[in-house]
Amino acid sequence: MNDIDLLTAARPHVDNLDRADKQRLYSAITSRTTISTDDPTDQTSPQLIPVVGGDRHRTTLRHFAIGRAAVLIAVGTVGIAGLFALARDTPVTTDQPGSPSAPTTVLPTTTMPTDTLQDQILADGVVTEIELTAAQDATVACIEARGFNAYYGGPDGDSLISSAPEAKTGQLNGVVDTCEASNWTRVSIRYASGHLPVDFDIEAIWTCMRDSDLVAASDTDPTTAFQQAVSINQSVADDCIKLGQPALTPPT
Amino acid sequence: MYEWFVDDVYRFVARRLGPELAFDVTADTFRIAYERLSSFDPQQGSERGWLYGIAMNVIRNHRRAEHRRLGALARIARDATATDETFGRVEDGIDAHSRLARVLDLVAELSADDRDLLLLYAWERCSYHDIAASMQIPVGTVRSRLNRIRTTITAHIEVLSHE
Repeated sequence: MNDIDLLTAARPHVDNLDRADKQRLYSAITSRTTISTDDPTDQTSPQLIPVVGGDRHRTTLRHFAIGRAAVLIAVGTVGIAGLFALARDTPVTTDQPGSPSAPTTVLPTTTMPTDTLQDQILADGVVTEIELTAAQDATVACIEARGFNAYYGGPDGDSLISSAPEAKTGQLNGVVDTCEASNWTRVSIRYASGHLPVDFDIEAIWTCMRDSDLVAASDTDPTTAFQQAVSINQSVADDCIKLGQPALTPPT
Repeated sequence: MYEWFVDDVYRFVARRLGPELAFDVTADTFRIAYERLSSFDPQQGSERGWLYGIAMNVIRNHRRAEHRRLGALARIARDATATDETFGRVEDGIDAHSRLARVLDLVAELSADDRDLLLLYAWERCSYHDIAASMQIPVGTVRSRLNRIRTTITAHIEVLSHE
């Protein structure tokens, strides 16, 4: 064992923060509003643009939200038919990357008028990986064209991260919603309906949500309860989905 | 971003400074990250690497604390028995603990840049690419600098062993 391997083998063990500590830490971060003039991020870039209001992230349907769609289907009210309806009732074909149906050309995302791209992608009832990426790119281009920052990142590289200059913080959510509706939502639902996980444990998800106080034992409409759970605390709801669908957990 | 990376950043800081300071330093890291979010360029590396870069700069404000922690870790290593897992499992027993204590002493004496690079690699298991992004240096520089640090540490320990 060389000295660096020895150092690695002997790295101090540190436990993760528990949920209460994370909440306390987050409160500490958000309560400190004074921007430091001694800028530790200033390594090379001389043109940092201050952003107030933090960031916003939304996980795409490729990973966790595909689990949400699957859970909605499993609890029965939305159902496959509902998803198809959202995707304009075109028959769905389950496509695979590299399948003969997959187009080989890259779509011109940034120059297309609103919704034209989604209509084109959905025209043949198939959403390929290339088309899904094109819809993502179009969403980012739409947000950036309105003067906001956006990219796909996160641990799985598949979550939409957006932020706003200080003067436009209040407009960010509306812009993201508009750009996703125009460029992403219908395509992503169609993609999800063709890529549903088959081995999730709905009972485990439901139990976890009940134990986390996201749904009540008295809830009789599982779809409504599940949607409420996501709106109450998306992070915990996603943790519950991961618990019941380990395959959705991105590789570390 | 907070929810995804807070554990990674906290563990990184706690390993370097100890749990007492880690809470505040992690909070400072994320506060700065939020304020500077628009400066993050995903083409240059991962969010984790970017956050580590900010954390390393905050850690530098606590250099004495880091030296104290490395010194304490070295003392624990010297006192450790072969079965002690304070640092995890060091399979070669007492000799390894003794050598580890010397390595930790040398880590404390490295320049801040070299210590950052070494501990990102050895303790956080960052890739060369992520280290390069965190430290804003070329990947080739990471490789050559790590090789130099490795050689320096081994040479010092060989000298100490013969004294």
